[in-house]
Amino acid sequence: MFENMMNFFKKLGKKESKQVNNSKDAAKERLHLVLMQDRANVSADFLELMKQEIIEVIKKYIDVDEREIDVRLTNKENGDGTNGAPALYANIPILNIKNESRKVEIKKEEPKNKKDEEKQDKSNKKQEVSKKEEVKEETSKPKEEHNDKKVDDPKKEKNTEKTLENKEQDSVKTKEKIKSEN
Amino acid sequence: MGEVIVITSGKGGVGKTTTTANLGSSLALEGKKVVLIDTDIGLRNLDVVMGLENRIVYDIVDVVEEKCKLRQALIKDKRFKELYLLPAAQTRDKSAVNEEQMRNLVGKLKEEFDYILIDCPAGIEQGFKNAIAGADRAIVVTTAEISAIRDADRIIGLLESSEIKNPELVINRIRPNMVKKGEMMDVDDIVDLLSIDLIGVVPDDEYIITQTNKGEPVIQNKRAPSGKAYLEIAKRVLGEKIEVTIPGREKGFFSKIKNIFKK
Repeated sequence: MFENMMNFFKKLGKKESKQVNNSKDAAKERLHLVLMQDRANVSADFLELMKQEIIEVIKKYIDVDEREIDVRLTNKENGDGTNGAPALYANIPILNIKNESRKVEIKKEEPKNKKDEEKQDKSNKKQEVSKKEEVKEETSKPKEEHNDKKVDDPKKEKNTEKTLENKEQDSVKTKEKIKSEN
Repeated sequence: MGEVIVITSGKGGVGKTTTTANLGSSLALEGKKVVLIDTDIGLRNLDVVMGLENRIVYDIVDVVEEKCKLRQALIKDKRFKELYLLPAAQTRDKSAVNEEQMRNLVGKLKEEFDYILIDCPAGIEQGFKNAIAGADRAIVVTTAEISAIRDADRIIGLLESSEIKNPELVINRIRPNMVKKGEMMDVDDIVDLLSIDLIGVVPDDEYIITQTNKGEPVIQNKRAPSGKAYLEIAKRVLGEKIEVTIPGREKGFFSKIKNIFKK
């Protein structure tokens, strides 16, 4: 019941802020794009250096026509014709996929199917494990934030632990008393 | 040895001269020996903002061309203990001085003063180059408007390429009501975009106009909110670690409740 009321109030709050935030958000977005372009253009070398390095990497796998390569910083076009987010545009004409790439890795066929299946299972498991780890990392982050806020709680836990210990000690003492009385 | 701070922005009219005048006055109030230098040759304004325009005899170009001694050109502000002004020339332009001359001049002043504040002109040409020559530190002034922030970004790039590392930001003329309504970018937005350390936020204040009309620094008017902001900035310049007061962000009970509902 109380949760419903809280949700109701939250929705009210959110509606207001969405309607009114327009011009500042527009300013932020525009500035973001403009600053990116200014910074990229100011350093004349920036684009040239990046282009060279990209070409070097691509050349390892594909034969390209270096003179015909076109690398540009532009804006992505939105559906309605307006300018969207900035994007690096690269048009790289391929001459040939390198001969080295023709080679297919042939695994030893002797142990045959079982080992192949095992390997596949292992690689699948690895993927699952890494996905789980990613998910764990993501969930652990918000927990860390909570830990920072809840500084009082561990202390409370300690206090309760202490009181439990005290109670145990008390019970031990009473047992000793009973023994001594006897 | 004094510290040389250049106050720059790129964009004109965002508050460099006002900041120089008030920051300098605040530092003088804190007991420091301060000199203000107007490098906007041809369009001088620091003299009129400080109310010292009637006392100019010699200016920075006279000093650099050795028509007078440096001492003779410095105007002592009688309202403060140790505050001096070196005015710009009005009948020349920014080519009248070069970077080497600026460095010499500033070097001499460093031996005598605790703080040398250089009011930089708008732009990125010779005036700017002169102003930053010999500076140890820079304060970049911007407002919350797109054009000011864009120019500030360019200036920060130029400063970082020069010997001045770690420029600090003053956000001027913030209007808390507009920020609340989402019509003006807020402090966090601006700091995110420019990515430099924030040293102060000054609210938009009508007292700036009235005080400048009279030729008095705004810090002298106890009612002026911008004056308080400048006094705070001076303390931070001196090294005090105070949290930046952001106009409009109350820490009261009701605002906390509002925040719960907004989330």
